[in-house]
Amino acid sequence: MTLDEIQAVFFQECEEGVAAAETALLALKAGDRDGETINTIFRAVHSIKGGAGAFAFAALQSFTHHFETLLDKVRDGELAVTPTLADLLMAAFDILVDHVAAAREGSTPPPDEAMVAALQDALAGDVAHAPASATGDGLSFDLAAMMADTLAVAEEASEWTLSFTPTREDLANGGEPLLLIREILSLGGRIERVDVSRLPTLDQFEADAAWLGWTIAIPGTVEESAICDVFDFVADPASVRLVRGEEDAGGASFDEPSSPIAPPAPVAPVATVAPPTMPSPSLATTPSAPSEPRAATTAPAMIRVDLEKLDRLVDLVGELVITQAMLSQRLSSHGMAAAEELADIDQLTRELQDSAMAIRAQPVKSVFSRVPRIVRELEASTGKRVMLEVEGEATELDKTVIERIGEPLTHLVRNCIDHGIELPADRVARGKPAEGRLRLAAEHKGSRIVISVSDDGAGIDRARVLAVAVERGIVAPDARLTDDEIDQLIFAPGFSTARTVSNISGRGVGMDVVRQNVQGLGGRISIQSMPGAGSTFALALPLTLAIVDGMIVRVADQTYIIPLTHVVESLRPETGAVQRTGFGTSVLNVRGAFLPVLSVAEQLHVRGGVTEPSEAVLIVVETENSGTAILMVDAIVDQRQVVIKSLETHYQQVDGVAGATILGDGHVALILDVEGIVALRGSMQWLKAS
Amino acid sequence: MGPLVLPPVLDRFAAGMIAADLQHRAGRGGPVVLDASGIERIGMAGLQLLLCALHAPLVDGSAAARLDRPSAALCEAARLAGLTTHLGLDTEERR
Repeated sequence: MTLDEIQAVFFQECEEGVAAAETALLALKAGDRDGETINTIFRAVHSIKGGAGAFAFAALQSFTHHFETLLDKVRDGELAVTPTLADLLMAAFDILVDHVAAAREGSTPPPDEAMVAALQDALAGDVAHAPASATGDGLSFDLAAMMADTLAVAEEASEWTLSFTPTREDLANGGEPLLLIREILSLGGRIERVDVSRLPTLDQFEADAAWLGWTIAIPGTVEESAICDVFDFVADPASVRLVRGEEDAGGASFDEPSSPIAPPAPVAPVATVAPPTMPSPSLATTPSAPSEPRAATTAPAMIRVDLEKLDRLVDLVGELVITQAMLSQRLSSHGMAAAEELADIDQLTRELQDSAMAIRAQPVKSVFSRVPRIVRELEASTGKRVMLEVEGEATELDKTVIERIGEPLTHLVRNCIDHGIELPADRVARGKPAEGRLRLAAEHKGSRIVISVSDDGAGIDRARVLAVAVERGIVAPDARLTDDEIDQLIFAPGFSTARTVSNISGRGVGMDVVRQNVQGLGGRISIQSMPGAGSTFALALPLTLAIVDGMIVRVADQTYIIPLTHVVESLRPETGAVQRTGFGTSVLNVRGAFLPVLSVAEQLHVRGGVTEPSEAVLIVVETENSGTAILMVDAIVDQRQVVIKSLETHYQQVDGVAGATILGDGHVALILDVEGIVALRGSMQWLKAS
Repeated sequence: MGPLVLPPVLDRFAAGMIAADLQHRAGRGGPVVLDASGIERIGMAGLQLLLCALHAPLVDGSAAARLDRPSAALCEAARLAGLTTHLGLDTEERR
């Protein structure tokens, strides 16, 4: 592994640590005072500090040191966690995230002097002098007020007792425990006992083995982190135990040679110093005030895999799907379509595909985790108060989708707070709670994931939206638009109703880009808004971008794929059932609903397709934005999985076409963009009419 | 049998070599004198070896080895590890 690769692993671990810490901090802010919650934050910060030191990210290391020191006091119960202290920790966390980003990008570290001063003041309990350093440097909080109720300094710290029993591993690779003891003694430690009871007889002596154990007393004024730092690189974590107060089990002496050293029973909070997992030194400490053990005490076994290898696997599965289709077609031509083995291969291929895609799947939590900070920042800059609710963050999506959905989602959140949620006074005047509600949710719906961003704000001001659209020439002054159509105007390029341009939103860019990004992922965005009650933006995203279940249809001499996610049913109408209208469009009454019938041949300008509906096959399709419609094709050929190949990569974007695929007979078939085709026809009017 | 002169660096490697020599000498009867005057650096493995040698009883109950002329580096390492008494160096110092 090269240094760069090791460093990349460090930043991956930083991300994981940051995510865990943020979750714990939010729990802390919500009132969770479990010791493990504090420990989670501490462990994350400490691990980042260790790695920062190893890779010489001095600014990051320095900041994490200050942060960690305060967390240590909190962990030990010397500082009580109050809402205001939780806010301080959250603010420090935000700067930590900036530090990590700066280290990763090689950019200038964020200014942190004010926060460091605030952390130090909080640590010292210096309420009187804290504000000058904290608020004077641009921090948005008043440390004096913040810390007034936090100073609960516990009784004077009692002495630490360190038990160090090196193992064979600690001696391996040139490890020298005596150097560690020297460092501990330099911190003011003194050796209380040396356990020599495990020493063997001379004929059983092994130079590689370790038989000695030390019990060392360390002044209680020494920070735990300083002690733990000494053992950062100890190979065996079990060789070190640290307790407050005295241990009640000591080492034996030569007078009692047969007595094995007994693990000391902790009489006070115990910390086990864990070794680093290279390259990011991490320190795992058990809770200082152990609570009920959590349900999941064993971490799932995981390995890191290069993303390129995963992509290669997915590509190969895609090729396998194509080859399997070819094989199926070849056998069919020999009258062996019903071969049992063929069904087995089909099933196995499908399972293999699901498994391969599952490897690439990530929980949307990695995207949702950005939102709390955005909300905090917007609260500070707008004066609005927002309660964030998150649901379904364990829902998994393909990694590529996850990576590309972050920006659109961020913009939607900003939009909801900036334009949707009202100021506290306005909300109270309207009979609402002063604190607005922003709900972020993810859930499976069929073969799609729907991520929704909802607020209980003012809703879309349609009169204003329409006025702006007219003013900017987006719609004609005499246009009569439905509520849904007006809502869709906010996605028009260059549209913005913001009265002032802020750094939050209102620059006239954004919502159109949001829609483009979502559509680029094969997803759809829809709006539901009620004046005075709020709005919901829903992003419907495909689970995967690589393979899709498709209905293979024929139009004239062309073959097309209709993604099954859109297909509701297929039918062959009786003669005369499809009625022409005065708008040059046909409709069919499907169980009481008049649905527009769209000829795929007409939409894609293909000549030679069936024109008489009763001779064609009608496929009822559902769309996110344009409701239900019917696509008219000549015939249904087959139904199977197809591998999506980008048309834009190999050719260019074509309206009504989402991509291409290679069929079993080796021919290329276009995958229809059902949403686009239905929208092209302007079926919304029809839906309204029906 | 003359004293066994301990090397300047008594690390894991040296400890393994000396352990074998010590066993051989102890088996020939009588305590082995360990000349520790030349020790310049000694680690945990070396200290463990000395402890084993000094406290391994011979058939007559006497120690298999005794330290002679401990160097300052050995005394310092023993002090650091809290083993001065175990290695009999406090007695040595008093002498």
